[in-house]
Amino acid sequence: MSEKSQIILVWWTIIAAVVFGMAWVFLIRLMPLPPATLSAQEVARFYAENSFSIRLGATVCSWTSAFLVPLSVVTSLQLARLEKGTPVWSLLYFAGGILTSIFLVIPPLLWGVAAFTPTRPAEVTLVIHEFAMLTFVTTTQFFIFYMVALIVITLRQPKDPRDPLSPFPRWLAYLTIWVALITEVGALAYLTKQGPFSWNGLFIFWLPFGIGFAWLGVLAVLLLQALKRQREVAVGA
Amino acid sequence: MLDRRLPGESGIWVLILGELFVFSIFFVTIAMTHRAEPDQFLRDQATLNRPLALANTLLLLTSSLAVALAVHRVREQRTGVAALFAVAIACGSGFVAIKSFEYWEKTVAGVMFNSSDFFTYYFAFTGIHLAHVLLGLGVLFALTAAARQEPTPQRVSMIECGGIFWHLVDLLWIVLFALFYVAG
Amino acid sequence: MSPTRRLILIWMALIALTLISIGTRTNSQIGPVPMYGFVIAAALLKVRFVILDFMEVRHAPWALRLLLEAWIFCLCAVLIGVFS
Repeated sequence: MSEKSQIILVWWTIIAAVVFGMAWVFLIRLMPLPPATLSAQEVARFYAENSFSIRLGATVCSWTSAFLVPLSVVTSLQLARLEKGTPVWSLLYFAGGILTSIFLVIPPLLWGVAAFTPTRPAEVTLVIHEFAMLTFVTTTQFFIFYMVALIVITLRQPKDPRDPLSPFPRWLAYLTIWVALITEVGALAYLTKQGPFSWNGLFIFWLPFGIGFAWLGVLAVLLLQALKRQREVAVGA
Repeated sequence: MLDRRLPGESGIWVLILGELFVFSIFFVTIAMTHRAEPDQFLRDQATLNRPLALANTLLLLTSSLAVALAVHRVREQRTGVAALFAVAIACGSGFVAIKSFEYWEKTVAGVMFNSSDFFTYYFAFTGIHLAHVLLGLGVLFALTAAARQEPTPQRVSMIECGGIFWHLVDLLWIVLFALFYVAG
Repeated sequence: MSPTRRLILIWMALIALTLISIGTRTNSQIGPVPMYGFVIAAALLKVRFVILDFMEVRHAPWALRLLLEAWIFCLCAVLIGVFS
């Protein structure tokens, strides 16, 4: 009977994610991420020139950057609905999902800090900037937990007959394996400051973030569709 | 008219096509680097251990054969499946050992991720491939266990999917081997 | 031909192609571009065998087979094209 609440949570995630994205692009103005080869002076100048806008962006992100939390709760509950017995994998999903959100919260926070005192030494601002960038792209540690949990539960479902109320079609498991492999590459950003493996590179930023966010979108849509079906069954019963 | 049948299940092909897409970007990147800096590329290539890489290629090709034979036997419910998967696992483990040795060899010689564009791509792409080999070994262990159980249609389908993933690992190495070690 | 026999023959072909590819390196009569083209084509031919016979796409629905054959062809063309 909690379908309505779950639907609200998914929409909460979607709206917060959109607002977060807009704050990042238009207020913080770090989309795309700048090259890792910029000097301390260049970085400090960016934060000084955009100080107010960035701090406003950090403010907005303070309200929206933890958008993964509600979605993780709903996905865990939907997985638990399918998991027989003790919900081991569903809990793993829950833990991984909500902990991942921390690493989306930290970068805007740090960008706000970087912009907070334009008069500080440039090298100090550079450190905060690097901290923010590397946190943004390398922190894939919790992804594995929730992606594997989703893969396991989804593949355990019987093919025939298919559960019409399940939000997780079998192809989602395979798609998730692909997304997991792509996003884990992000950790390599520590190893170089230029080229496609640097923090704004093709393999560290564009592919993982593009594909990762698309995957979240797919998940949100599947959940909403399934919740609608579940609600119809609950109402009809 | 032959019956056309989708190997495994449709989802595995989502993964395969996705991986082929990403690795194609890797492959084109290597080719473009070769074209853009031919002297540096050939110099760096000459320091690679080609005999070991050849051994690795032969190991993966053999492991793929073993897996293909094993999957056939699972479908026909014949014996020898466990032995074939064991051969594949042994070959795959050999690959991991040899690759690790290659990396160690390079590292003690002072060659690292940042040494040149060639080596950035070499370590990154063969490293990502190695991660796939390790994942594939896990899959092979799971397939060995699954093959001991009752061959329900769903289980046979999953075993086929696992085999298909292993063949992907083999196929990706074939191209990496050609681009990094052979094409000169 | 039994499936087992067929798979073993294909494996032998794969090994042969591998060794031939490496062998071309020692042939100084071939220019660098044709040699590169040969190595790439040989590699993709090996890939084709793995896809069609090990992954069993040869008897898969046409859509999948055509898609994968097209990928093999395009990759081959792009890799050789980039180099020439």
